Amino acid sequence: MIAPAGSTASTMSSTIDPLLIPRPYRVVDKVAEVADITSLHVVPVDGGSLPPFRPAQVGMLGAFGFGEAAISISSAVTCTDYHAYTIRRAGPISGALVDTPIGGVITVRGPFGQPWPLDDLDTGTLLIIGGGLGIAPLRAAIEEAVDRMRPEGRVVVVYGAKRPDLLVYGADLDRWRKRGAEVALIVDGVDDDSDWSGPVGVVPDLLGSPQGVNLDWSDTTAFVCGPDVMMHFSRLALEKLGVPGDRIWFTLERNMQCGNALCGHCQLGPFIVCRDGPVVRSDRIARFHSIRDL
Amino acid sequence: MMTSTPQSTETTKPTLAVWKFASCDGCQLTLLDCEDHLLDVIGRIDIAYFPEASSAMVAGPYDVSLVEGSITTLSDAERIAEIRRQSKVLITIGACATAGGIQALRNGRDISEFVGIVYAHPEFISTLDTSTPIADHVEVDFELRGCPIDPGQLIETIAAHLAGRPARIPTTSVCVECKARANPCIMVAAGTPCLGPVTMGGCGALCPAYGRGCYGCFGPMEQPNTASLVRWFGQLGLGDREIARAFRSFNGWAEPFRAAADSIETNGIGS
Amino acid sequence: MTARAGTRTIDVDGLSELVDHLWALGYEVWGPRLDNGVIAPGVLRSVRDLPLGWTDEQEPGHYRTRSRDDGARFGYAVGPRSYKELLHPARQQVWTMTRDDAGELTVAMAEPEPVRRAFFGVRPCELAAIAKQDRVLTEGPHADPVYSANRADVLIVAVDCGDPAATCFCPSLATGPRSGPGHDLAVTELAGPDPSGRDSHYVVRVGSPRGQAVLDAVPSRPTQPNELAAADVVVTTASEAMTRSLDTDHIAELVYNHLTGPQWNEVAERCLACGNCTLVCPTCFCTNLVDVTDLTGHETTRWRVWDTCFSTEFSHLGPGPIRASTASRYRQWFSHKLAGWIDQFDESGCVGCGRCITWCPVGIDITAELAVMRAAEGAER
Repeated sequence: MIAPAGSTASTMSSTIDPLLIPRPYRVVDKVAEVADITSLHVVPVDGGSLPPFRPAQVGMLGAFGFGEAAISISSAVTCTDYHAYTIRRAGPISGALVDTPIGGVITVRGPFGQPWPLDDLDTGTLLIIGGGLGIAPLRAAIEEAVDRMRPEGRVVVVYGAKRPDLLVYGADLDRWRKRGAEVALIVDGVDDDSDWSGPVGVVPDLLGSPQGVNLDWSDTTAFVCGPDVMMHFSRLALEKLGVPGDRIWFTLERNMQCGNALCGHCQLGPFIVCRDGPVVRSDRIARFHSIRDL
Repeated sequence: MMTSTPQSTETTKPTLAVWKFASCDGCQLTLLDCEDHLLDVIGRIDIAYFPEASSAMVAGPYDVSLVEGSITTLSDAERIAEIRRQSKVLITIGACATAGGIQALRNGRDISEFVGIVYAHPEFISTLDTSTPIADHVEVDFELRGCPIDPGQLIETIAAHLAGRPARIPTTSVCVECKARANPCIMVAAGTPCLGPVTMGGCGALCPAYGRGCYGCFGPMEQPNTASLVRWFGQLGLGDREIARAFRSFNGWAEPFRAAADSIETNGIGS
Repeated sequence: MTARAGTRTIDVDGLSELVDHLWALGYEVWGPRLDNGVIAPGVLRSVRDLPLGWTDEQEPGHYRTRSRDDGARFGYAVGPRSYKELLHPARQQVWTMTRDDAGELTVAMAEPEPVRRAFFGVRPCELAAIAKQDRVLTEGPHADPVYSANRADVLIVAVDCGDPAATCFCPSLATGPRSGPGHDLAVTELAGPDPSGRDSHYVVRVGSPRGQAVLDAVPSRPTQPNELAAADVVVTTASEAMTRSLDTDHIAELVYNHLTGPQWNEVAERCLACGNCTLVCPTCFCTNLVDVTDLTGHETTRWRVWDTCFSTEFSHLGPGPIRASTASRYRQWFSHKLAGWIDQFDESGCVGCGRCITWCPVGIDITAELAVMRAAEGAER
């Protein structure tokens, strides 16, 4: 009944889809990003290669005895040394994951889900909007966008967080700027002693405002990831500026359990998020997104 | 801290104490009933105080205390406060400890009358007017329901504590377990009144498997809709008194069940 | 109607030999049995195990078996249980993981064991339900190994419905009362005794080469025209006997247009959120993954168990459930079954079997709730 799996799973288990089998990964580095957010760098314990992925795809990360959580891969697709997962300590499972020491072992299944449509862009400008930890599923997209940027093209990153000290990937922001991306930051609020000199407000405030981001909106595609309310108001602002709903892309977050479109947990209206998302076109989700408790 | 107290490997195991208040002992006996797992339990924790099972009476403090029974006397109330002080983690086990138990039927009644009826020498009896759950008196870290508790859930609770994670105890209805066990629904198929649809699972749908309606041993499920079930009981032909009595049992003092029974006794079952 | 070529008639002895032959071929034969007050799938040792002389009586929140005085062996509708419990079991081990003292992890997948079963007496609605679960659990991006193993070698003998319950509405979903595709054999029972005193006999249609081979092994004769006509009458009479219906016209749009509104709170006043409708539904497939650790801290086992979207834990995300209210959870079940499923799997999630109506402890009726929605739509126009 029981056959050994793990590193030898693909050879031992002929009938079981490999994405259903937890694969042990070793934590080779940990980066304390901000406050309660940590990035794990992991590699397969079996010495095999990292599975290829596309930006926004998700891994099911398992902590022994605690269970699994869906986390997007936040390293660049070109990074073959490790996969990075940026995790907020939000509950027992995420807590156990971020508490895994360097050298410790977690499990990963995946990658799962629909990525950002980077291969299908037909606009000159890519606007990437992140809110809070929503920047994590965008990170690989930004890396790839600046890699593939055409001379006349623009990659614009708008990134908001609650406070200046909660903006993650600070080193990346400068690097992306140096490589040609335009980066605008905004925070909800600042402490009295903060040296923040940037704008204070919410992300949609920056879209089309005089001090904010001004683009050829008719030639813009937007990738948006953050809290539902932030994505909702970003869409309204962008549509008002002239970006059609079919050029605005969101990520959805629901209680993903199996990652295989089998367990039914991550449904949102017509979507099974692990199969049809996490990235979906905003006009396809708009009517469902604004309904409470759906 | 540079103390040089030698520590044996034995003393590095977490210590467990088991305490009894007003109760029948059934829940603490569940620990002894864990059979296959009992040796594992002893392997991972030191049973420091468990008069029901062991002569060892190691003084506190304790890492984990399991508390059975409800608070019915003034000395109980004092004792539980001291146990709380001695315990890093305090877990209450069973309907008495988590909801006051069957003895909470006395709550709101004339206790001196009961004492007079039951005891030959009521003057020797010193008791509170109420039987109340432990959480009414001290902070409780986790409540494990059941009358009695389920061995599997107890092991899960202990394992979860040892692993530093929350215990996975479903809060859904008895019906979920009943259907997984392929029991026919006795309310639908036989018209037998059953508290299963408002009661938390954990028993494995034991009574319905033997054709008996659920007595609510594991207390109210998450968000129980007692009002709807009460109306249906009425349609099945049950009278107000019968329905109120169904709710006033082992977990009758648990708020949703108490409120359901109070409402019936005050307003009838409604339409 | 289907082609009649090859349609054969068997009598009770033929039916009996059919069951015996399936056993001889190595199938574990399951079929309807009277068990503990309900008619439900059980191991069918012989045709004598069928509920001869029994029928059922169903209403919202109400089910009773009672005797009947003819020779019908299939004179009842579906009970609370379905073949889901065999194909997609309530509890299944997924893997065991061990952690050694160095913290290294080893995973052992539970390898599903192939089983050879024949389902004898599958109702058209159940046939449709199996096809829907096939689509969800084997035709998506990742096939479910347990379901796949349980399903791979199932032989299905369907039986058309002649005596539907008051809670049935399969014609609305075009899943019955005549058996659709997916069977190896499909049987219409002509319950005896007929006016000439002849005992029950059975008109058999072949749905697959495997079914043909099985039928060839038992005594049969060509079906007579009057038997064919009688078989048609059985299903048309059944169809006309069904009083409930579900209007599926642009149903997904209808439901999506009514995701807000007072209806959900009204249902929630009655709904117990007990999960019974999801557990008796032959298409509901949702499962929960539960990791159970041992006391030593060295081993953890993942179980896959039936879940219900009526639990708060089902939609848990971050600080709490997305669907915190019973209203939102009933809406999820209803809207998924009748609308979301169509977007997700290109067909309805409902087969019209009526189990959710009968087995709701307080008799909530999905057809009535849809009618409320239709009425609201009418009022909005």
